[in-house]
Amino acid sequence: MKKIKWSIMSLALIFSICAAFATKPHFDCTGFPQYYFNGSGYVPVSADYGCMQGTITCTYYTNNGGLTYTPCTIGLYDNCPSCAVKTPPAKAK
Amino acid sequence: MFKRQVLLECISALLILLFVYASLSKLIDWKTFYGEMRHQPLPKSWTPFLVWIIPCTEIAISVSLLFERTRLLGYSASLLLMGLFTIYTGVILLHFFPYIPCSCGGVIKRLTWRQHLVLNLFFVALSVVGIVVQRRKRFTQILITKNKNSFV
Repeated sequence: MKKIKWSIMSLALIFSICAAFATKPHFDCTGFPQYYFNGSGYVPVSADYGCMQGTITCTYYTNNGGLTYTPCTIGLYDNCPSCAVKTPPAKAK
Repeated sequence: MFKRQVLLECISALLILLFVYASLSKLIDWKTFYGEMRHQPLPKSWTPFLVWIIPCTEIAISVSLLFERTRLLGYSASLLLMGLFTIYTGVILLHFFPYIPCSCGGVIKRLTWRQHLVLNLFFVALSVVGIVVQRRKRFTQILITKNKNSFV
């Protein structure tokens, strides 16, 4: 039984460690300054930006001085997600 | 008895798989994880603690699930942690917070919040089954020991 136990556990451990390293992003584009597309151009992101649940491109980066912008993060761009949390609830009249 | 033991090993292995994968992918891609935690609808003062507490707890649960003596504790901690994640997911899906943040942790972040909820519920159920089967096993072992002692 001990052999079976340690075989199952070793498999689970090896598989999870390999999977964690295999799914690690190979290139970290977030190390570059981030920009978002405001409909007409690429604008630097705010200091407190967030990418909310969504499937579109949230931020872009450039590595050629702004000639081209490449998608980096996914989600809906929000320039200050915590601002919405801090907003006090409206007082009841 | 043998079937029960194999079932317990499989449940532990699945939970270890989840927790080791989730914790390692957070620690490997630390910067992204920190950024994603900062944008969760939780007080910002919690972030420096949560970014350490969550992966460390996941690793501690995985270690406790490896050993027979600490397994029941591991299942209970797993139920508590997965229960908390499930409640958090449910609260997000009910639009309790003013915005929906991204979901975090390796490939798991590619899941939608609904898929996240299903995954969490599956692991909550596994933890519950683990606790029940482990308790029964302990109870049976106590009975066997008592019977042996009464013969002596």
